[in-house]
Amino acid sequence: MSDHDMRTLLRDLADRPEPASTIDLAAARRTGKRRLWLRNGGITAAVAAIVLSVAVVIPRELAAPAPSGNPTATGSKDHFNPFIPDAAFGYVPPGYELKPVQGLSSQGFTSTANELTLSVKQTSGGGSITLDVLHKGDCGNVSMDLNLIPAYRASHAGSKDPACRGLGSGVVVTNPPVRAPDVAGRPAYWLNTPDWSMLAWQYAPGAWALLEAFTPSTSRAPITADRPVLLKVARTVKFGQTKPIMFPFKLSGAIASGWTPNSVFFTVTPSGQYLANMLEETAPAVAVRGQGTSTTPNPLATEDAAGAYAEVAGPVNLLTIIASTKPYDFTCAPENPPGNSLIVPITSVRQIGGVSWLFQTDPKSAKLNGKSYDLPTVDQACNQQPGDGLRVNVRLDVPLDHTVPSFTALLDGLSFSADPQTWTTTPLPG
Amino acid sequence: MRGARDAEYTEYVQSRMLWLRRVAYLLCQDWQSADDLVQSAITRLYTHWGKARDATSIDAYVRTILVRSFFSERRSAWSRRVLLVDRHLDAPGRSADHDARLDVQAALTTLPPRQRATLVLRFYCDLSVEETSRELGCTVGTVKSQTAKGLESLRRALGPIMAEES
Repeated sequence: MSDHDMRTLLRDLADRPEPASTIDLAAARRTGKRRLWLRNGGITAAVAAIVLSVAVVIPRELAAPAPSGNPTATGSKDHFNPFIPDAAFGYVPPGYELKPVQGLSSQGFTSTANELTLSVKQTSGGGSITLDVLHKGDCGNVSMDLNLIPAYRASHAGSKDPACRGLGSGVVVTNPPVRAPDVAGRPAYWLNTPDWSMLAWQYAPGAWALLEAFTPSTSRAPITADRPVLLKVARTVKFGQTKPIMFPFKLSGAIASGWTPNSVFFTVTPSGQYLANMLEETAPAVAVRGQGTSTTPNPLATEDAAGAYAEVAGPVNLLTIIASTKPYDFTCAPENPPGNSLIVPITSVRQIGGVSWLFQTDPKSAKLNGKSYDLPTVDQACNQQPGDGLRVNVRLDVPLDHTVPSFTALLDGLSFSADPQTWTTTPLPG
Repeated sequence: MRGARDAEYTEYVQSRMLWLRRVAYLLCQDWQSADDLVQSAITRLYTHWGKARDATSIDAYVRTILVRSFFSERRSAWSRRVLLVDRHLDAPGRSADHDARLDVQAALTTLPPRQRATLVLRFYCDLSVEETSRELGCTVGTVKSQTAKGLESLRRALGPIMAEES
């Protein structure tokens, strides 16, 4: 094969009609801006927030769904129940549907003890509206925006969370906040950037929510055109919701002892059911050092383009469960490069009806207390086949403290059903 | 000032989006992963826009980010190894051209990522051996050997097909 042949083959392949792009330029800018903010001073606060978020132990009563028909006191809580999204959209503009926005989380809507994120997307076009609801006293990931509002700063003046004390960096929001018409009798503010429109309002004493409207880059409409829509959406957001997220499994007692439900990702069916597609549980003793710059709770996440890994200090056990309604196909890397740098996670999969469930424990790579671990090889991982039951790819001699026994106990304690009607709303042991 | 930065960035990315997607597609061999890769790369580009703008070639800068993101994500992101696909994809009508493309794609997919990236950089991006070595952070000799191995693998995989066509 000549060089000319190779050029022709690659060009033929690349020049074929491509499918519609799923790339979200606005989301890239927004995420980039927030990373810049973190880099420019927010990183210390962010890392502290990570440790804080995984170290806090949610009381057992919080982890259990609230009794049906017993709305909680909106805004008066110190934490949300990650299993029960506290808010829901009311009015949704025509042409929009409840759907996760790429760039925020591709796994679904996010429900944590501190923050709820929901979004609606245009069914055709790139527009989207994202709702962030923070619990009382929480600054979350949007503090750099909201801290520009004097009333917001005042409501967090006594906070011990360093994320609450930083002023806006000027990276995200370029214009001073402007007072908006009140929402449900409480103060509201516009925070506008050249790219999108934001409306922040105090939905309860000390508790704030934020709506962000993204306009397709092809639209020439002024950004303020979104304001009436945002105001209408904000005024109809329903707080104090009690509909629980449903899970197709129940964890055993062994895994949940001392663990914290950190984040639940979920989807919403056309009939309004909340179905979990990812649960993150974290062990209480988690610390991060090194190059990790992510605001996600994954201690091994890295934003470094060179692919450097964060080191993990102490035992880290992060359980991630991901489900998909799509068929499962494990794509294996055919090579194992020098230095054995190709990392294979401890992963297992189970196929239930049309739903694929994937299980993974962290850490999957890097060093623990300066020592490298011999994780499963590529070949071991690639031997997994979809749809033929449960395969656990764990070497029992991996000294990850209680990860392996807990993982085993978890698997023993799982019970599945393909029918969402039979899924449980209490994934943790009672 | 920030608005000007955003405008420059946006204009550049929009103008180069098709090229970025195609390079990413050749690296990943599926559009879903390609779009994820571009999403990740342009996000990183935003955070490094100051450097990129001042670089001799913005294209070269973003291509480096793209390629390194490709290797980085193959190493670190377990989810990238898991491909979730719709059960009933809208398959285009099969034709001789379509079959040939599938053969080429299948052959490329069998190549190790570094070999595949070497071929993409050398023969799609038209980089010299020296430029490719800088991009991949390896020696010129490694680029030459990876190129030779990659071409040989494709020759073996596609040889009978190409012989039929000729």
